[in-house]
Amino acid sequence: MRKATPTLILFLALATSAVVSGQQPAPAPAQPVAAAPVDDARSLFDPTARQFQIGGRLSSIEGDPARWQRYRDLRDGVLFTNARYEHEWAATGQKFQVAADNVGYRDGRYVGSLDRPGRFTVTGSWDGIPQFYSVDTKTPYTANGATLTLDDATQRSIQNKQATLSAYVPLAPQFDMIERRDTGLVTASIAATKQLQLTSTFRTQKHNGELPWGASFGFSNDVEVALPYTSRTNDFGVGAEWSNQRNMVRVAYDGSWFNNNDDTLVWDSPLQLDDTASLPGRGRMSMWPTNQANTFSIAGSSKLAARTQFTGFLSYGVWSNDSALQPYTINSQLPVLALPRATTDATANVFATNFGITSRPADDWRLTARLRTYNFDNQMPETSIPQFINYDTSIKTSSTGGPHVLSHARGTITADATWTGLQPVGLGVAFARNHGGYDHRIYSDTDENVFTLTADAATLPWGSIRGQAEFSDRTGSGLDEASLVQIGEQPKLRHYDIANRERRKFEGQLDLFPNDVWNVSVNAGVGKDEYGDSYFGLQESSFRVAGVAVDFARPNGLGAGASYNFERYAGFHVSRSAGSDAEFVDPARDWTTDSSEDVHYFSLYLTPPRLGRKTEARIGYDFSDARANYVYGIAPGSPLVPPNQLPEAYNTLQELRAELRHRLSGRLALTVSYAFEDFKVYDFAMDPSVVDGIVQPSSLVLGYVYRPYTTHSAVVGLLYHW
Amino acid sequence: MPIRRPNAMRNSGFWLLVCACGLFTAVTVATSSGGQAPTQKPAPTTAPATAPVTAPAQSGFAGSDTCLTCHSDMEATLKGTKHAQALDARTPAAQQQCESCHGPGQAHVDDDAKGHILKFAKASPAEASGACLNCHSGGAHAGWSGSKHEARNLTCTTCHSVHHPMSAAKQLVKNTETQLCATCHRTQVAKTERAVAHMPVREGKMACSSCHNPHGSISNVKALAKGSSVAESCTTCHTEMRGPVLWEHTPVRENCATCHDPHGSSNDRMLVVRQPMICQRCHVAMKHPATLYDKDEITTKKSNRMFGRSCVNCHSAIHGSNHPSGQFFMR
Repeated sequence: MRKATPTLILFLALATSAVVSGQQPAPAPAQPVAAAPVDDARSLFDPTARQFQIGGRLSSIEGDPARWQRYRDLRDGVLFTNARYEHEWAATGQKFQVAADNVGYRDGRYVGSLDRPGRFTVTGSWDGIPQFYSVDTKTPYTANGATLTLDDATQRSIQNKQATLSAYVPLAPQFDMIERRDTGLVTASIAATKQLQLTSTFRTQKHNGELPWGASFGFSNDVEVALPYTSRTNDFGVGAEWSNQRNMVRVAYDGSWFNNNDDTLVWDSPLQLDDTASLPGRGRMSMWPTNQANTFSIAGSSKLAARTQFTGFLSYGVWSNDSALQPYTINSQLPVLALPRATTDATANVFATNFGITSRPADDWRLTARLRTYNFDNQMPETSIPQFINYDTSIKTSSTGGPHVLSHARGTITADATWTGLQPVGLGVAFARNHGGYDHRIYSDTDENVFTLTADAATLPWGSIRGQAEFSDRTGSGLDEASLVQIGEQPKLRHYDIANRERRKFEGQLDLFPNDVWNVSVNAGVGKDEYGDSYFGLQESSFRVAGVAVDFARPNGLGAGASYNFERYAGFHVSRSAGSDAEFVDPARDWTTDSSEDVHYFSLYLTPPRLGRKTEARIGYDFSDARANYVYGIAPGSPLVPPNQLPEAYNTLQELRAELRHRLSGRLALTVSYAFEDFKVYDFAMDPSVVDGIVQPSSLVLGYVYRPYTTHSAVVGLLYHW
Repeated sequence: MPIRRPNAMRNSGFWLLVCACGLFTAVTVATSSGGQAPTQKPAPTTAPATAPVTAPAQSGFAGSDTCLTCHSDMEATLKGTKHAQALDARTPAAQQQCESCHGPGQAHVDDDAKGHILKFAKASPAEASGACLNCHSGGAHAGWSGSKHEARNLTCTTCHSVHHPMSAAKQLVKNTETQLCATCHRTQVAKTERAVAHMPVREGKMACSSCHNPHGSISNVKALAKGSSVAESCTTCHTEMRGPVLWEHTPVRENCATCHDPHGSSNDRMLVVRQPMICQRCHVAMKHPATLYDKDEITTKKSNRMFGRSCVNCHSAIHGSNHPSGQFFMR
């Protein structure tokens, strides 16, 4: 079925195109375009319309093969890839194209299209994206769908204090933790008339595999499982766009259906076989619920007098989830609490608008005004949940009496002007007013004023210069500190996504191209967000970036380039450690975290001229180094124990790629590629020295860790084109 | 007395950069010469974007054969491209060929100085874009007017080349889309190269245009191509997070970018900062939410609030829970 699905998608695409094509006058008998003559001048690295590459891949891996592969499937074996085929009918200009890469591998990609100029275009594709988590993972759980079970005898012996979690070690075989996303897509675009374009899209996405998942029974019984996951999302869209030289109107419908086949996770407790009134033998969790979204939209634009254009968009969507509500607990020894209703009955009406007008009243002036709104109107009924079962273990009173029905709305008014009277510089100024309205947030409303200044000199003969400065201030109103107290939070906490904030940001870039050979680029940026009214929470965050790049390209084919980029991110937040009411109000117990991350990225490429008449090469090198530090601080005289500072977390990746192609004949080339990767990593929370097995104090985990790797990979093959 | 870090980062560096921008502008204006549009603007050969190029036949048009007597190499550059597809009545090849885009050429032929023609490399951004927008103003290009790229004086030829494209598709001026976007958005592209957590851009499974419409978006912010908000854009693929659900986690519902960096990060799951710090920026409640988890918590105690996946060891339904007992996202 797996291999049949890409074929099915392509068949569907071609069938659709056949139907559409059948509605057109029968084309003249196919007259294949004459094969292109052999062209020694063409680079062997330039793709051709008809080609394929076949070869073999061999790799040596020291370290973590999962991290190396990640979103790729780099297993050893025969490789059929880079396949392209194109056929054009000269009489009609109709063109058929197919492409295939990594055939037979988890990251395989297949694309086909049929294009009739001025009439229709139909495209079909199938794309696999694996995500390889780990080969270090082990688990004593046995999966039966989304039900994970342990050996009963071991559970009983631990329950009876005759064994410990270590008893699971010999029962935990190694497994590869992988998930994957396979997407099939068919699009059709039909020019019904010169002015009317019809479009249709169907996408089906299967997402399945296993991913690391927390399935806990409390601090003393924390469990990490390999979550089985199988879902499918189907999206369907249709649209019609009518346009002439002055006006455009578009109507569209988009529907999306997400179906989770594993929407309930049930897993055994490693410490307990039988349910008791204080300890469950199993847990049950709701996974992501099946949901759907249906959206209708209409858009249009109109070119008015005086070089003015109006653009408008509005959409109305309904999102819904009506999954059955699970009982409060799977623990048979706890009281059965009455559900508020049988199903979720969650619906949200989503309404969005975007209206803009742009005018050029004079050659040197460009003015734009825009109004944008977004309204997420949550229609879920008020739900009374005064009590719930915590960890399938005990009854707990809800601090809120049930879930909050969260709605929010945003409105933005923007005005900007660009003046190009000071040639070749374009100067711009913009003002935006962002308003947010919220339910059940600490502020009922926020308002933000944003001023932006830009300067762009983009048509200089020797280069270009760009700069932008942004100043913004956000202020909240309707502060509700009582809502924080209700949920046990500090009343002076401010959530940084809506807290009062002052932002300053500047970015600039200079590009120099003094001739056709050299290109130099320098960029820099700095910015800071300050949350001056937030006693607790994020106080400030900042960034600094800088980069330089040099490119060199000679007509004889010699090319080279190097670039360096530096990024620094920092943040500072304040908290208070408290275990009692008295400590909760003691400012001496405040502590801070000063976090910073520095990233260096260096890239180099070399495109040498032909080596003799028949040989070409490409070389590339990338280096990335990221280091993060988290420094804790406490007040002088603090009753807190001075912290033992966290070590630096880092990761470094080096990649060297070299590829050589040698023309064996007019149609055949030998390809040899080599790739070297070296990855170094240390993360204090994910290091094998910390997660040194599946049994940890109070935890049964998978053993998923961050490990370094060094790999050498070679592909030798033949590239044939005709 | 609450503790605060001294504000070591003054604004002086910031204002210095602003002044530098102004200085650059002044120097640029003072030293620029040539490379600008001719002081004598050519006769309006290409109609502004508000009116179609529908000059009557033989009215100022020289014919492409005349163009090719001097620009003979240009014909080959169009071969195989959609602009040269004469069977499509909408294309330049089916209309006035060269002069469909560059404007009527007879005045250019007659001019010894060879002006009176639209030269895209030397035209103002509005003039250059206007020629393309005569045809390419709908579909994915409907949001160009008023877009950020337009406001920053980019033009179609900043990214595309009709005669000398470098890419296999979309006629870009660079070999790949990522290289093109990196010309200006270097930091965002560098983030996609992060070793620990990134979207599959460098693996070739995604590109900038998977999420963004560089021509501008008529429906969304940040030139996002789909949906009407950041969260809607993300959930076009991550549909499991779309909800709505019984117990919502507020930052999830409102904006995924509150916690995640969509371009890439050095933190697991592309978080803007690792756990537990990301959570502790908003949670300061009594006991474990606001506990200071130092090195001893990991190496000595092996606290399950710190090692491995930290807070989501327990609060795994962090994007929202549909379980009646899911108030704290543990079920």
